[in-house]
Amino acid sequence: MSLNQRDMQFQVFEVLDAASLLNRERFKDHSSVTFEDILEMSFEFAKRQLEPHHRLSDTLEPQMIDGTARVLPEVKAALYAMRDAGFFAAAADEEYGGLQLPNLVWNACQAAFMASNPGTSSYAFLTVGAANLIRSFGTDAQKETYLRPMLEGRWFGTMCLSEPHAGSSLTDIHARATPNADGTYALSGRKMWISGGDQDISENIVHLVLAKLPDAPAGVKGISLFIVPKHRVTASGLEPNDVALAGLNHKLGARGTTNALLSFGERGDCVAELVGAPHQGLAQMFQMMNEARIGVGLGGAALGCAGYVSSLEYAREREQGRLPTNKDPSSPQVNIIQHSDVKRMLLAQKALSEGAFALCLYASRLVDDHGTHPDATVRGEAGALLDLLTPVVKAWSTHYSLEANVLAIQVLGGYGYTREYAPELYYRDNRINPIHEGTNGIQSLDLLGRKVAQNGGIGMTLLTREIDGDIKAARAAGLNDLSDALEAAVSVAHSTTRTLMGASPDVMLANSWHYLELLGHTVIAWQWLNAARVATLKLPTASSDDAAFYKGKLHAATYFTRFELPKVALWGKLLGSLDTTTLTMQENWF
Amino acid sequence: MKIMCLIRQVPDAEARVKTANGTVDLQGSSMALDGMDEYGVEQALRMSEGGAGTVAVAVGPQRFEDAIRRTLAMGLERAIHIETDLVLDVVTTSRLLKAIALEEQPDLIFVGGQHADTDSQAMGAALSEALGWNLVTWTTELTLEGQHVTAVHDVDDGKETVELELPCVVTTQQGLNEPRYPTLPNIMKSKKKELLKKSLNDYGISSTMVRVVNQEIQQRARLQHIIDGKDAAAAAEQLIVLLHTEAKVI
Repeated sequence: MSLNQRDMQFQVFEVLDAASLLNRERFKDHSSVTFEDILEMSFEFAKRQLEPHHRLSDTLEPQMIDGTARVLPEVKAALYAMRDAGFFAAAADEEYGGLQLPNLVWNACQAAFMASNPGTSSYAFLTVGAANLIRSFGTDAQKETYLRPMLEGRWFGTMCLSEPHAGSSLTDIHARATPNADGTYALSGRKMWISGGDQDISENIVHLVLAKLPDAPAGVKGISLFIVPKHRVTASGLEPNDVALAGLNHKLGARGTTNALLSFGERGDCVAELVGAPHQGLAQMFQMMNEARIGVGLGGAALGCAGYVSSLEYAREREQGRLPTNKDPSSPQVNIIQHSDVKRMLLAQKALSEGAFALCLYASRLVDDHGTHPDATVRGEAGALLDLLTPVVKAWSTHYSLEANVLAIQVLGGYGYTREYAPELYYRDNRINPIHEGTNGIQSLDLLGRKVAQNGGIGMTLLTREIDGDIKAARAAGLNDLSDALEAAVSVAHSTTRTLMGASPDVMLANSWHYLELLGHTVIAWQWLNAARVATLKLPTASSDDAAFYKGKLHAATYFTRFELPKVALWGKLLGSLDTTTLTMQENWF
Repeated sequence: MKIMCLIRQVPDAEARVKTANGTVDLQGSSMALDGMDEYGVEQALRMSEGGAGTVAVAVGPQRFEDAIRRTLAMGLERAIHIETDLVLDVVTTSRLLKAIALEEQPDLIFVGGQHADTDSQAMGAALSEALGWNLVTWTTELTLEGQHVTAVHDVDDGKETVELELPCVVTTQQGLNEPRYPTLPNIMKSKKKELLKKSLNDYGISSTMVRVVNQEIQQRARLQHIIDGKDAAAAAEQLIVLLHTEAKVI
């Protein structure tokens, strides 16, 4: 299995205490046992339905035949099985046939799927995200028409933002929507990089498209959101809606998911429905984007963990060389896991990928608190903390899980560079994650340019309060060294933030990526401190297998604190000096 | 129509099982419903109306409950768990199951064709003998018309079709069906289904006739043949022979 199920249980039940969600009205029909069974089921599903065709769907990527993207039968079969098992509606409202599973548990299920086969499982997650957006902003009629078939997994969903000339800069999109007499809109334009944009799996595809109305103000405030089905619903059934597949992009990884260039309204017959109020499209889309960003971070972390598990298995079996103290060439060779440098690479992977995984699940739990906590103050605070952490969740997790994948390949040596083993596939699948749903550079600009100072800096205040509380608890458990190191990092984060906030925007944002790394390392050290505290408390009464697991957690926490966290001081010094090296570099000097 | 499914929990196929002091130590091993039993559960669901009249029966330690819950989540109506840490021999188990069958009055009992952990294939035959019922083993196809059962089962070099009357015992085989996943709604519903707990005492059983005194795990050493490649044609011929006779992959 690609993920360590024990680690999943540790994070979901022991650290984040999923059982404490059971006293909330929304989750009252669940129990700890149902959470455990559903997680168990997701692991089994991933192992049986998703893993077996992961390599095949990478080798035989989707093809455009007769104007339609054709995917492998195995991809279809797995998604139909996912649909039949009820996963599409797992977290949805009962009103729409859903099970109201907490976001924490649902995201843990998703992690198992994404680690096993991100290409196939992405269709489902895109659909769920699109359905959530219609649930939040759609009319009753739109919900009736689109939501139920999407949550039943009969229709899939996409999000259509980028255009061939406008990727990160949505201000410049060209797609237009012109009002029709019946209240609908005629949509025209091209959309690029559309994951799941076309396929022959589902009965219909519901595209959520950003476009501008004729009277739209300039800039992002003039963007509206539209539902544009591939086949529109008419009295006589589904009819083509003038949405054409203009081409498929052939990607480095995640090849099971089609990636399309779509052309809307080439024949002037593409009917769209406005979602919510005019010109509010980007703000609405950001709800889906924020969910998607946590999902992307989680997908990256899951693939980082998968690479770690895969290279760990290899290191335990591959015999090579002898330890430095053994000078007898006739003695048996040792498994490479006994070599310190291999242990370093495995420890680094564990610290980075499991740290990222912990943060992503923590954010998932914040989504539950924001949506369902009975105390309005707690709901508000969870939302503010989530706002601050979302760019960190997305960017830090995807950046450093990819670094973990590089180490997984390295552990396997030459074999790691071949397609005989999984790490190269995990790396290629994961390589998209620092790019899509807002590049990691964009995330760092969002963090430093917007989120840190938002609402008087409430996010940073809450983050500090949470970390301080956990440091106190960790000290009570005897974890003074880890606590001291984290406390120092938090202090650097605060002083650096203050300095940057006083600089001009150009100087402040010149090194925004390193600021995200600084805050990200601090936050991951916090996650590790919490893991170490739980492990310390559980260790005395643990079984032998569990004791080894908890000791591994403690050791990885120590590794992160000693080998990674000191970088915070270096970044703090650089950023605190308001360094302008990157800012002042001139184009013609390159 | 009442159908009884005998089920067991076994180490997952990928679990690393170890022995300690002559006993298999399952601590930390991931456990699963025996795949052969799963075929029986699936068949029972297909032959019933939404699982009505179906019951899972398990004889084993408390941890078997996970496997039992799995069958309920797949759709069986209810379950009986004879909870015991005693490892019963097949004949004693068949006597126990006979007593349960007499209480439950099933028309049909599904038994896994072979235990995934011990490789025993005796349970179906022993239960059929105890009950004096018809038996069909290694079943890959099964149809029912009234009281009349037609079954296809594997034999060494082919298969044969047999006809028998209810009540009967059917042992399963890969190919009988493709077991379903529990759906998420069924996982939630399964918590409200009846799981009746019983003990060996309830059936007047206090001991087993066969006592396990030692357990070992089969070790398979790598053969590591080295083929001299100086004569490529001879080496290829030798390789083909090894792949055919030893590796048995061609």
